[in-house]
Amino acid sequence: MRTLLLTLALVLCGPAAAQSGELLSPPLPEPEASEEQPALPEELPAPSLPPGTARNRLPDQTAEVLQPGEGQFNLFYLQYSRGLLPGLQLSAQLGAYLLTLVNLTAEYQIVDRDELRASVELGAYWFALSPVLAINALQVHLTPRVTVPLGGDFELNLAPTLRAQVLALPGLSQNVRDLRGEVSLIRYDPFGAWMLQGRFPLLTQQTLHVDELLGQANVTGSLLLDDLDSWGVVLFRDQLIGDTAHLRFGLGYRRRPGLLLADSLGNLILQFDLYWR
Amino acid sequence: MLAMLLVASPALAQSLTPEWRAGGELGLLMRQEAGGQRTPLPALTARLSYDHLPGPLAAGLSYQFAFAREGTVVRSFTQHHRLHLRPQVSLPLGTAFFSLGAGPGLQLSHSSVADAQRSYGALVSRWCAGAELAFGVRLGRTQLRTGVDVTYAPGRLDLVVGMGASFGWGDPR
Repeated sequence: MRTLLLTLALVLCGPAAAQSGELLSPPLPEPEASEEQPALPEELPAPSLPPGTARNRLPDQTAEVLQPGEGQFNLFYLQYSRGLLPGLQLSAQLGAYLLTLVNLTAEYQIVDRDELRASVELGAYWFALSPVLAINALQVHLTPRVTVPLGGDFELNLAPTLRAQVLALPGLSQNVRDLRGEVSLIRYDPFGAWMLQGRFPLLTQQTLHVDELLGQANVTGSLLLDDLDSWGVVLFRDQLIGDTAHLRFGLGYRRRPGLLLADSLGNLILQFDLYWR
Repeated sequence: MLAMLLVASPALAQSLTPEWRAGGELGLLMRQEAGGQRTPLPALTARLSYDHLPGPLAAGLSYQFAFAREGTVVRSFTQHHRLHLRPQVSLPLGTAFFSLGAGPGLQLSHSSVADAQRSYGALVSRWCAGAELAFGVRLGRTQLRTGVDVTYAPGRLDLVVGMGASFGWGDPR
C-alpha cells in the first residue's frame, strides 16, 4: 500500500514539473541579390511560416496556447496537447492513464495584447480505481500565466500555481494545498531559445484526519509549512531539430532535495524532454 | 543573458510616466517567527508615488496591512500595519519595467486575546528597513505590477509576494 501511495504521489506531482513545448521552424533565409542572380521581384508573396510562430514556441512556459487543430506530444511525460478552439488548448498525460489516473488540463488565453498576454490553466487528476480499492485520490491545480515581451528577443513569464490534493483511505483522509511561483526569462534565437527559470514554492498546508490514533478517536491535525527554502533555479536550452521536433535540456540547482525525478536528484535539477508537433 | 537585457534596455525605454500614481496590491506576507519558519498571512498594500523626479527616480510611500486570526474558544487577532518610505529607481523595457526601491519604515503590531469573559491587547511598534523588487507592465495610464518585498526588523526578516495595479494621473513626462 505504501508503495502504491508513493507512486500516486509521484505521478500527481509530475505534471507540475512537466515540460511541454512546441516547434518553430527556423526562419527561412532571405534571398540575397547578387550580380549573377537578379533580385526577386518585390511582388512575390512572402513564404508562409508554419502555424507555430515565435509567440507560441514554448506554450508550457508562456501564456500562449496551441492553435486549433495543432497538436504536440511530449515524450518524457507522455503528454499530448491539442488546440481545440481559438485560445483554448486541452492536454492529457497519457502515461498517467497507465496508472488509471484520469486527467485533463485546459488552458485558455484570456488576454492577447502586444504588451501583455495572459492565460489560465485548470487541470484535474482522479484515481479511477477509487471505487474498487477504496482509495480516493484527486488533485486539482490552477495556474494563471502572464507573458510580457521585454523587447528584442526577450520575454518574461510569471506563473503562480495553486494546487489541492485530496487523499482518502478507510479511517484516514489528507488534504494538501500548496502555492508556488515560477519566473522565466526567455531569449529566443533562430535555432531555439534559452530560458532562465526561478522556482519558489511558498507554502504548503496539510490537514490530516484519522478515525483513531493512540486510543484517541477522530484526531485532526493541521500543519502549515514554509517552503521558501526549497527555491531553485534552472537554465534550459530548447533546441529545434528539423521541422517536427525539438528537445529541451535543463540543468539547475534546488536548495532542498525534492521528490526524486519529479523535482530533483538531490540538489541537482536535471531535465530532458523531446517534443513532436 | 541578463547583461544583454540590461545593455539593450536604454534603446527600449519609454518615458510617458504620469506625474502621480496610486494603486493597491494583494499579497502574501511570509512573516518570520522566532523559530525561523515563516507564517503566511494575507496582506493588502496601498501605494502612492511621485514619478517626476530626475532620471529614473521616483518617490514612493506604501502602507501595508496584514492580519492573523486564530482560536475558537480563546480567540486571538493580530494586526500588522507598516508604513514604508520607498524611493525607487526604474528600468523601463518597452512597455514593461523593473523597479527597485529601498527605505525605512515604521511597523505597528496589535495583538488581542479574548474569551467569553475577558480580553487583553497589546501594541508594539518598531522601526524597520525594507527593499522591494518589482516587475510590471504599462497599459496606458494603468500599471500591472508584481513584486517581492523584504523587510528587516531586529530579529525578523519578513517577505511579501504580491501583485496589483495602479493608476497614474497628471501630465506625462
